[in-house]
Amino acid sequence: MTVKTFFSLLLIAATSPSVACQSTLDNAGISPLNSKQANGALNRTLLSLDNSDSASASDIIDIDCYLQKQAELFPLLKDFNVSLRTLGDRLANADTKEAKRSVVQELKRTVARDAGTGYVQFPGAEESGVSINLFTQLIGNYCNKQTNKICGEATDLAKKLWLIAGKYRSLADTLNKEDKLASREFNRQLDLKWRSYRDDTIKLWPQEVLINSLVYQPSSVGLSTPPSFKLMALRPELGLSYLSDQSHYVQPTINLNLLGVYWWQYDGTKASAGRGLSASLIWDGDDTAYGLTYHHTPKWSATLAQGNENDLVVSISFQLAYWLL
Amino acid sequence: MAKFTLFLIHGIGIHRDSSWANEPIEMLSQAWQNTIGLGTSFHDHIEVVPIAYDEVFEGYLDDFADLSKAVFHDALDLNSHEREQLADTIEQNSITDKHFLWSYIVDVLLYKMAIVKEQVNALVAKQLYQRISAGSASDGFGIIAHSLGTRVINDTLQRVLTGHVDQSNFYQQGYRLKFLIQISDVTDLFSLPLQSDKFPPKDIYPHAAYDYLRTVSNRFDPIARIIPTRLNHWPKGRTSEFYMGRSVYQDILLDHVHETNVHGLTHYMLHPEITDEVFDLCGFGRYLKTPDLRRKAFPVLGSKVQPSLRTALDHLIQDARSLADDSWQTYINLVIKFGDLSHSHRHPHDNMEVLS
Repeated sequence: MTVKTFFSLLLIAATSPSVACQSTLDNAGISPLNSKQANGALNRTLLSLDNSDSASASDIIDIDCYLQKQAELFPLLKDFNVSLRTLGDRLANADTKEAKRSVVQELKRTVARDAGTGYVQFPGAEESGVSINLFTQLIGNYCNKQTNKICGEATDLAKKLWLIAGKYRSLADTLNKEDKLASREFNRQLDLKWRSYRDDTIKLWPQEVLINSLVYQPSSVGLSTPPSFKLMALRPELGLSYLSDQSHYVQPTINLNLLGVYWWQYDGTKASAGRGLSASLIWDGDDTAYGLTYHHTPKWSATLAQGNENDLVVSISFQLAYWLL
Repeated sequence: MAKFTLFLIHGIGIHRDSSWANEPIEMLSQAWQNTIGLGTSFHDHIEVVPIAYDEVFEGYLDDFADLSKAVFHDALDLNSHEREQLADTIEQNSITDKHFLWSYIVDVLLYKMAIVKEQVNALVAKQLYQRISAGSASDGFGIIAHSLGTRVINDTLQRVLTGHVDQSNFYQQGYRLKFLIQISDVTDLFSLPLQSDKFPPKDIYPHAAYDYLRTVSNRFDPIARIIPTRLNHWPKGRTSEFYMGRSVYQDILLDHVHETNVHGLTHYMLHPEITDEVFDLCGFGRYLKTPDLRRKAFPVLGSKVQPSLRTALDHLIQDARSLADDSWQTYINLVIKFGDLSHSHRHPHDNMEVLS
């Protein structure tokens, strides 16, 4: 039987007073209690770790039937019984993803429970719902030192309202499965992408972290994805340079990337090796030369520079941080 | 109902894995044994899930170190004797543990960097979501954040809350966070030093992100008291509201001194007012044994505080209660002048002796 059919039957039952519904929540053998016993019984329910918080469409019909009958004894239920039924109806008709999400939002907003204070909250006239203190409004109102049946009934209702709130909240679990699966994948990919941003492209010096943060525009809503470029600034490297004006030609130099950009693409969650360009300075201990550096992967780069006296400098730089460390 | 899930989020310092939370968890467990009259264990009712994000900072610090080594490895022209001397000096100053000192200062600086902040937020959101989505929407979840973690969780929840339903927005999937306890709240501290905060805290508020907020500070904790919590973005009147039998917001101000570092999470958790509040919000307030008596009996000066300083500190506490909001400055002056105010580092069980 479909959920819709269930609710059609429910509506018939609700609008036909002559039809007496049966609920599995009905309890024929309720023992008389006094207030101390009632408080103890409710406390045990609130502390219970038995996870019975799962609900199906048939449970909702069951609950509606139970609450209808209880409302005759306990008028405070009338505040939210109809609202719960409306919510159940919306649930039954939630065919689309948007409709399901809307019901989940409604459940999240209006149904709550707090074991510490003994409150339960259900949909009602107020936007956030109607709340009941199970200890004061049920046990406090219907129990005293004398053992009596109405106290037993109020305690039974209090325990069941606690469970009903849990069941209603858990209805979201049946509606949010697709979004949960998508979210887990989203989280996994986002984490991997951020790790790849840091690990698979050029490593940043502190000043570059600052500059890249200044230019980065995070998303205004939700979690942000990493950029696909890094700015390079005052980035020192060790180079092996050919110096046209020196007799020994090849010697180590300090190559400083003055300002540049390194970019890449993401293949899924992994950043490609990428490449970059930067304006650079080469210093051999005496003279300086200015030029352009091409970064091929994070591991090495090549620079073509011109010295003060029009001499040519060609330099290769290996990022030792990637090769050795 | 399943166990209540309590997330713990760390502050500055080295927190490489979930073992960072062992001490606070042990303190909560001990406090439970001493204060909750159920005869059951803390772990029977509450599952603590530590959240760690320090690996992001450590990653960047590793990169800085690697890049520096690669370029400047041989730049220091030291002979072997001088190298040994340098190594001894480093060891004597207890900075051999990688990034030990850096971590305390640089964590904050790094978190001000947008590319680091966003990665931290994504990592924290992932850990939160993993645990929350494994449970039911009917389960209870709460968060305790400390120091830098208060700002981190504030930013992360803001990101989650405004995100799309299929992008880890667990709120739109029906889950609720019952409470957020901000211990030594630094959410507004990030406007220092230039009175500008590129990403000002939006102070996510009930009932959208959580049902209850508690901010906790110690009068002498400079980190918490330089710029106390402002809640600038809360709707008017929200701080005085009640929801389902509890006040939506409470600012808890403590003034106990049991060890020099009054900023530490474990120092805050020594106070019964904090552990009582945690247990109450988790749903066990009715089982607290004589909370008022225990709080009154809790000594503001711990047994390890040096005898020669007890009178001065006692006067400071009395003055702070009746006078200034800037008593943390006097406390800092005391620490600068006298160094360690206590004999040795506190052990979690010391507190339990006091409580019992």
